[in-house]
Amino acid sequence: MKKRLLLWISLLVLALLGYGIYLYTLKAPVVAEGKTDFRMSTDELVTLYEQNEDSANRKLLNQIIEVRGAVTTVGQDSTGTSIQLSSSNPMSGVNCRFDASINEKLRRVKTGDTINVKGKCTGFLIDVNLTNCDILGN
Amino acid sequence: MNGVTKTFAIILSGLLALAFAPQGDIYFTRDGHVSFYSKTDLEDIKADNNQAAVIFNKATGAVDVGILINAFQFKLAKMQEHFNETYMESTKYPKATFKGTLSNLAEIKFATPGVYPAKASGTLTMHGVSKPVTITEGTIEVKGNQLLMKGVFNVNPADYNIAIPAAVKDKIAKSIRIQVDCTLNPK
Repeated sequence: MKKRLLLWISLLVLALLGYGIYLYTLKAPVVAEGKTDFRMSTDELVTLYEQNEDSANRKLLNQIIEVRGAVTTVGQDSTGTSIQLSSSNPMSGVNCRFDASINEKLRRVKTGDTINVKGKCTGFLIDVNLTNCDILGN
Repeated sequence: MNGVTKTFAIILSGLLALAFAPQGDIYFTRDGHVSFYSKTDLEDIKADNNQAAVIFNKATGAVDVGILINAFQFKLAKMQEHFNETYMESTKYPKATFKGTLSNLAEIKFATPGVYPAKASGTLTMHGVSKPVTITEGTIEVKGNQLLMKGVFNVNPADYNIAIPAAVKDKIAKSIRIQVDCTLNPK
């Protein structure tokens, strides 16, 4: 009886250890995972931040957002791709950063295209910034 | 002013500079690369951010940098989580900013392509704390109509009230090396 208990305890310890190792070696996602928290236009997103950055951050920071907007610039290199989406505010848009693993999917994206992007909202600088982005079927 | 209002004011002043400065003096990027390294005998930690906003006025030498803490990409999920939640408290302090000036502006010939040594000093604000910093190991390369800015400096987490728990204190360097590398385009 005692032996069996010991066996169970050691199995439990092993499982916990394994789970711990799994957690501590888990790679940080480079493409936003999970379901979309908010779906909106670039105008809606930029307006929320312009009106009140603090309350926009409380609502959107670290949330997965899907936006649809027109491409103003595309910059691609070996470290990834940056795509700027316009809004009706000429000073500010949505700055989307994609990991290099998405580069191939973005090869044909050009200025003037309207695209759907899903990414994690990291806040506001000149633009609202999304990171770990992915492009969705249009 | 509280930290958030202050950073907002800095970004706003940058935006105003962008809007009202004479054409040709302002260079900027939204995709600057900022990385940091923490090196100890136990562990090397690196994180990258490719969305730094940098605004530079070549007439006055003013440099404004804004960066979102949540956009730093780590290799391991746990490291990224600890960085945001425990050390930088990025929900409370989502931004870091540098506001400063080039101290050797006269030595940089913007009309002549080439690589020039650059020095800057200013105020770095992160985790709600503002401290003076000096960047001595910088360069500005004049290349076509672009300016390539590079700089390296060190920050001590303790100076910014960033508490490292005793359990991991040997894994995180006392001095973190910050590297900035960005390509600015004329406005």
